[in-house]
Amino acid sequence: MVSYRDDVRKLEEKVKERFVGNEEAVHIAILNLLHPRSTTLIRAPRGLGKSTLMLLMLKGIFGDDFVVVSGASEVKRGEVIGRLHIPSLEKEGVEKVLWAAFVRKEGKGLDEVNRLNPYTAANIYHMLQFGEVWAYGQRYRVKDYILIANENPYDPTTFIHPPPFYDRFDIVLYLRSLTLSEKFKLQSLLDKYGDDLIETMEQVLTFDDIREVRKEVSEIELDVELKGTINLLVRDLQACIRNRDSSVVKPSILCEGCHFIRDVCSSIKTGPSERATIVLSQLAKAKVWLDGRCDMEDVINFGKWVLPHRIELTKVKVIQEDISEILEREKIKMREREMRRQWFMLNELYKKFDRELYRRVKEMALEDLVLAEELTKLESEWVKKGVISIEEALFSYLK
Amino acid sequence: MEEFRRFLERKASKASVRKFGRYIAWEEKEVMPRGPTEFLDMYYLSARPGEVVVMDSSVARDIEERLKFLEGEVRKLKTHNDILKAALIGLLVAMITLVIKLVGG
Repeated sequence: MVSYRDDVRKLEEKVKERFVGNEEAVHIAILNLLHPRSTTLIRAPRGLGKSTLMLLMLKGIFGDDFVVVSGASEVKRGEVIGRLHIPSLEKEGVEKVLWAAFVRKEGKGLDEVNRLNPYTAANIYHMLQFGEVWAYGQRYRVKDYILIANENPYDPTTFIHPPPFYDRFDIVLYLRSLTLSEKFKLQSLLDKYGDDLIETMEQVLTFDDIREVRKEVSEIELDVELKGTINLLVRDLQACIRNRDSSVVKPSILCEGCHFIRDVCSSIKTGPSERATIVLSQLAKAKVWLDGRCDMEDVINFGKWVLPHRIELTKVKVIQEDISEILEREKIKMREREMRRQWFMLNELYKKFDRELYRRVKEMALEDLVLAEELTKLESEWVKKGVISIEEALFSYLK
Repeated sequence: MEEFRRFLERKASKASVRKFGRYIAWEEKEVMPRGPTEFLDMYYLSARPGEVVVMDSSVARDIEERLKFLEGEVRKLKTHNDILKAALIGLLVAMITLVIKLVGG
């Protein structure tokens, strides 16, 4: 019996055999392959193996049957999306579009995304968003695919793509340079594979296998507690009592005098989109399928790859470290919530109003914006029913 | 909403809380206080500080020097700020006088 799990593990093994260091990033890249229309962005300065990792992954699944478009300002729509078939136009007066291999192939690579001109980037954005491409008034439905892209954010020829473009990438992998011992390992590998790590990479599975895996992964039911961790993590980073999303003034000015100024929300200028929730769930399912388990710690750890390109911080030193610090604070926050038994108390309040319990939860909500949001929902109902007065409600205080 | 309630139910079931009529109670494990943390570890390595943070005398001297330097900087900037404020008020008065003269004919 064919075990796709073993094949996927073999793919990871084969990639790791040729790609030194960054083991965690490779594992996440493998997990990210296991859901439909997977998109991965690899970010690193020059020479750290962005293109190598991209090609190793594509070769391991597609052999030589994949397309890589190199980002350059001269890349035209015809090369990436499609061009007119001139003979048909001349002889029959028909506008026939020859769709580019990039949209037809299931294995897609984008080298140096940052160099893509805004027009080509807009076409790719449309493909990622709607699963289709348009050229000369004609539409092409793009089937399931794997897209792996890379970019060097420090490249001087960089175009600044809009945040929604990057939001369409499920994860972003930051690669680090090799340590001393890893450099020795790389030299040995280059000697072993005759200086060609990519050409010697074997095809471990096919895209049809990946489709089957994706079907199995999509059928996994996540535990409700894990779903809760995912939703809490994203909500903690989105929530703002002063409605940051619609405010003209942004943090930190917006936060001046706010009750929650010391909370994690004050470090965030723009919170993550709901795509973060979707991708975290997909990664959690993939981890359950491949590794047999996924816990709260794993989910929060996924944030390192899911959040950096979806979030804008008020102060950035090193984005990966800043995000890691926020995630550490999140772990503590979630533990404190457990210790306070706040979910138990909220659950009790959902069942039945109790004034003493309400007073306790209200106190806790002054320290936890997400709890405050849920409590104010309950309060609105109680105010309507006349159980409490508007003056004593938490939302009156927080206003 | 149903899933959210399911989440709350699950969390509640794991809360190990005892109910006595209107009262609820739980046991809290005593957390052993963490040992002292080195100040430099806390500052440069972002280590979570324990109850006590320690530093040797050379680090304390460095911090003292730095604080003195920063206080000096603050004083200097405050003087600059006061001069600029005075200049701004002077300019404002001159501008208002000029406008009054011009409008007044």
